[in-house]
Amino acid sequence: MFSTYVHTLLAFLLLAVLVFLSVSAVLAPVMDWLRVGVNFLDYPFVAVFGFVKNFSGILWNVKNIAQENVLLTKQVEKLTADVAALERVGEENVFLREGLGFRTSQRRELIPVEIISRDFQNPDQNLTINRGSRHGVALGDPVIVAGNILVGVVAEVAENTSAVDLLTSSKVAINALVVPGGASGLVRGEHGLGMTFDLVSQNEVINPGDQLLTSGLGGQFPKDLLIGEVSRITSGESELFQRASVLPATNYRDLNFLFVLKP
Amino acid sequence: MNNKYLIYAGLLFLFFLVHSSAVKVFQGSSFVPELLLLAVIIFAAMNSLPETLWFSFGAGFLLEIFSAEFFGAHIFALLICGITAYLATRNLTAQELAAPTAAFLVIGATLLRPALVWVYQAGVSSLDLATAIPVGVFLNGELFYTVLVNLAIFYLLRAGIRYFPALNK
Repeated sequence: MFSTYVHTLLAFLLLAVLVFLSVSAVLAPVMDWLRVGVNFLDYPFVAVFGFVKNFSGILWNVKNIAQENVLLTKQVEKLTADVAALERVGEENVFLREGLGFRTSQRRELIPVEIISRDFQNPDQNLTINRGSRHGVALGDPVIVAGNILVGVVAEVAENTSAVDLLTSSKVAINALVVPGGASGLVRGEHGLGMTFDLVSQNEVINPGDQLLTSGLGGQFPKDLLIGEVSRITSGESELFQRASVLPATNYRDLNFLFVLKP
Repeated sequence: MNNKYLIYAGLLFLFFLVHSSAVKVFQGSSFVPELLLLAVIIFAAMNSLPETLWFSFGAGFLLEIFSAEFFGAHIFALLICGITAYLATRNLTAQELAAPTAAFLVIGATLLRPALVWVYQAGVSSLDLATAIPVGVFLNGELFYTVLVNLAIFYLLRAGIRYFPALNK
């Protein structure tokens, strides 16, 4: 019985010591190398689960494929027309910028990264990527997917791995503006459950379906990264500010490869 | 070192690799079983309390590797789950892990673990060391599916363990 108490005490004491080491950042390199090791060792399991997922996905979705095909064909037609129009506008834009002597948009450096895990408890709030300070990743760097869609921000950096807070995380708040209209406000994460567009003046007009882009205010995020679209206005007319729920521009549960954006 | 401990340590790490791979591929679906928690329950039913404590500690430490909660939340939760499973199988239920006992333990532990993580996180955030997270993030409707899949896998593990007499010594 005495031995049981001693073991219990020792276990909780060791936990306290590890917490202290973690707070003092002594444990960070150990966890970093463990992440790298696990990422290497779980490769065969990932391959098997990946096969199972793809195979079951095909079986599950076989009914919807034809329907989805029709929808995608229509979208491709619309996007082709949009691209043609945008190319023309782009050329005109370059011509006018040169004419007026405007600074051309800067080229941004991208670091390609792979997701090596998600938070087991709350997968919509935080994920781990396979690049760290050794590869140039820094705290606060924006994380995007192809097409300039902002998905998160680097929250912790170790030598070989980093933790990314998704935009749905309660730790993230971004200055955003609405297109069309230009109403500005703050996009906040809701503890992994979604996003809210808040602090929008009652004089501004926002509608469901409007797109939300980073405004560039504050300097942490470059401007014009797509965040999502306004899904529903959730505030009343008597409130000081307008508030709306936000639909992310991409499904955060389907992410595999990302880019860390270096400003 | 005792052969049994090596086998258990190996199994624990294997379960962790399978679990982390499943979370990675299925992107945090509620249908991913909590293998380490199930391993802790089985271990608690078959071994002494000091052994259960250190096994739970090891399982919790592995969960900390990819955790976004404040460090120690999973170790704390699994330690308490391990102790509770041990005490339940010695005082409240039979130690043989019959079907009703197994169901009681798995459902209880599946609900207890996230609740303990929340309690730990709330305690740490009250000291301004971390951000508070609402209880709804930890205890929500998705737990129902996790309970179902945990039960299914637990019965499989319970059946499988009978074929490995080395673990029962």
